[in-house]
Amino acid sequence: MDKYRASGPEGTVRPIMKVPRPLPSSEGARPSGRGMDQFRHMFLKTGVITQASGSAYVEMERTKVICGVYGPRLAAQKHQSFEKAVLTCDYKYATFARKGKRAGYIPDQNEKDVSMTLVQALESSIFLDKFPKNVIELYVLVMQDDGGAVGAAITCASLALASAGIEMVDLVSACSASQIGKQIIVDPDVDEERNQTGGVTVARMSSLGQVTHVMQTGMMDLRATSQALELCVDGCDKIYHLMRKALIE
Amino acid sequence: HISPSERYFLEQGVVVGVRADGRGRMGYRPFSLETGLMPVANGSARLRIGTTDILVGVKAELAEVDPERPNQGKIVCSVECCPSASPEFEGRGAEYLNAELAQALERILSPPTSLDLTHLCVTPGEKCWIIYVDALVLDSGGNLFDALSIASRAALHDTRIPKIKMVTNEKGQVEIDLSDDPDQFLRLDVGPVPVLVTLTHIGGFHVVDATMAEEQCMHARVTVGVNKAGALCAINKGGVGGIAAGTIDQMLKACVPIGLDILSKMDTLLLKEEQTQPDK
Repeated sequence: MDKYRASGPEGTVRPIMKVPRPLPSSEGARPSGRGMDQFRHMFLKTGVITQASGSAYVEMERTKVICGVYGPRLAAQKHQSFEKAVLTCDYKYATFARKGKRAGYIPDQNEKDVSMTLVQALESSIFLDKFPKNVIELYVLVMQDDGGAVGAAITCASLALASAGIEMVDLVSACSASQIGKQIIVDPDVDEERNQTGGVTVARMSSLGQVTHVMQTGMMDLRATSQALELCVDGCDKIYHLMRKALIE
Repeated sequence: HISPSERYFLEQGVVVGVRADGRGRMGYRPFSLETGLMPVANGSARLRIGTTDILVGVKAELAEVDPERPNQGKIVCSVECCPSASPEFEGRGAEYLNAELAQALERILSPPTSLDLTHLCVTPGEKCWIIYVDALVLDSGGNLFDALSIASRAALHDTRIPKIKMVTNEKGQVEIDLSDDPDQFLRLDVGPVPVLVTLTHIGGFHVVDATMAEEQCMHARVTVGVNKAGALCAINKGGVGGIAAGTIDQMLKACVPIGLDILSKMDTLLLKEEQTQPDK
């Protein structure tokens, strides 16, 4: 129970707003006016958190994600690791980040799963054996989720690690694609994600050509999945160039 | 944990195509499946594969519908790796593993991938059944994703929910009217439910149904949900290594026949159980 807020009387229900949501039509026009393979404009900036070793902010129109990196610093007893550093991640949605009900503060199953996903996607890109007995902590906060939050989080975290000066094999970029009906569209927003029959998120190290994470939800046949994977891989390469530009500036 | 020499031995075994227990790379351990073990639960199943032992219990409760989906019931999955199963699961050690496993189950059991939740709606817009699928990992011998998906699918097949109607009595109150016939149950059609197939990438090759020791040597794993129609859902890559995109394609193609084989074995076992014990 939240002791710090005066909640409304019991038996209150939030209003249900029935606003018709336009969907991609069968001819293929997306309601936002974007093309099928057109990404949203992306804004990337590093050095946004002064107290952190490294930080980054990624904004894809209405999806806003910020990440702070703390470390490498000496690991507490529980992180026992003598040969290489331990990478931990705390992924969290701000309580006002998503449409619908206000989210809670305690990490739920989904947030813990994405935290693990981030660690798996980024671990192979860092030279962890250069920092034995150390821990590198990532804190990712999704301030607003308008679709593609997990992909943006991976990109943001990788950029933050680079801005912290941690030695890395390569930058990891990530993006997602959805299948709606027979169409495959890249970089879906939250309405398109809710109405998808299936969706794919891919994280990739572009210089090495290796995929560090793949996640697919919903139902897709093999052909559609391969097509979506290809589109995501191309998208990741494009985002990689944007990341490099943001670091150089 | 395994020593570097043991790791080398297992990796070389995979390269040559003969694993530590004599299986080929695509060999699956035989599994035993029982349902209906717990009369208190609405449905239950126990799966044993190698030393992995999974127990799944399903409970159904009445709840308010989700305003965004007023004609559907709900399904909530949770997984607990019992601390008794492995010393790593003690205390909060298994916290993240539990979340990962539970999320994987939710991905294959929630619409649009499988169960038709409209059957679970009691009064559209008001009341529905919420199904809690709670899985316990009693003993861990590797390949938890696949084992959990098979056991959960069997437990859902075994689930029996009483048929009820919400009626308004003379005083204007809403009551639950239970059907008089004790053999009248609502069953779930698990035909379209997929099973997870995990391919573990070791030594440059991929193997299916990895044992605990093989999982310690893994570079990466890809877990794929495969349903009866051979469609893919809930693909998830795990492990910290990177894989080339072409390899992922190969792994996806390899998963489909394995998944179809498991589904047919499972359905045969479930049918046999149904026939030998028609009234429980």
